[in-house]
Amino acid sequence: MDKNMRILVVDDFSTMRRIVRNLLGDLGYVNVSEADDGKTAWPMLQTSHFDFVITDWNMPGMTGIELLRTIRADARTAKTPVLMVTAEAQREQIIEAAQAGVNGYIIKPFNAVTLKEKIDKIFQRIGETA
Amino acid sequence: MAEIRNDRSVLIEALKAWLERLESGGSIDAPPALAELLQSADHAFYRQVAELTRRLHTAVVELRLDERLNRLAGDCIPDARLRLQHVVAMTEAAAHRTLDLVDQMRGVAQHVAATAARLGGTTADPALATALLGDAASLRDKLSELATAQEYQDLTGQIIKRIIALVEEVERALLDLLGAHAGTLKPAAALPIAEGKAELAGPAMPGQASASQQDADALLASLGV
Repeated sequence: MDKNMRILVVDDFSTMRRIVRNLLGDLGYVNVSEADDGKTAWPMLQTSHFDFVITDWNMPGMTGIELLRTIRADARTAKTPVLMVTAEAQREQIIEAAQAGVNGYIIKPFNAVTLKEKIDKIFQRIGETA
Repeated sequence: MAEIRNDRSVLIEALKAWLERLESGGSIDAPPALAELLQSADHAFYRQVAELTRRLHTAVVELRLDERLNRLAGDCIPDARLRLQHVVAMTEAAAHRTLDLVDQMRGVAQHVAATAARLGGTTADPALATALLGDAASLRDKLSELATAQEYQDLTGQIIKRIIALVEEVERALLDLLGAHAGTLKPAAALPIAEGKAELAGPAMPGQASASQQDADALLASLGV
């Protein structure tokens, strides 16, 4: 997997952005940018290329599910893998995210092992279908 | 018998009208219709009811409900809101402080590892250098776990922010109520507390049905994700 891939981390809590960035750093991913909600993230995704998006769900402005739908609806970003990292743990939410085209779903609180596992799985699948 | 029942409904209507007037801040005197009724019907029961109604109103006034609600809405609730916001800010600052220290310690662990690696080639005791390298690696792992543990700030923060939103809702409802009481009485439909829109459940709470990571994995697998 390309350790230099560009990753966008979207979360309204600065602590969580920092934790995810730290964990990504431990896994060797250092090309990480941050946005504090979907509204900030979407212009970033339009103006430059990101290989991977990790987003929270419940955020002010634009939520993670709205961001996911927006990403899928735009031809330029439709294929960008999106990993949802959220405290939302209801079946309906998980199904909603799957139907919106999410590539992975992590329930907070989570740990480094889960994050690595999900990222590996997402890119393994992309490798298989490519 | 029929006459008494009729009297009773007339009395109930008159009392209701009086109570409504009292509640909307009108005169405390019995309306003429009621006064007439009380005079015409020389009945101890009627007088008792009238007396009770008057005492109830006085009691409400003495309780200073308006004043207390005013203090709640204007003072206590904004104060509670600020305190909750302060808790979120404090845990955020504390979590960042911890993460800063973890960053610094990571640098130290890295330095220990680099020094041990250099020592390995020169020292008469290579096992010591290897042990040091192992310690540095374990230190690095634990620091990573320590950093990840700070995610409590996000989760508790989300829960507290929900309570802040609820407190704001109560504050608005109280102010509406006080406004309605002070001025013209609003129709009931304008008063209800806004219904929670199809909201997200938020972080899992004890005793609440929610999916674990394993449940989520199974569910997603069944959906082909």
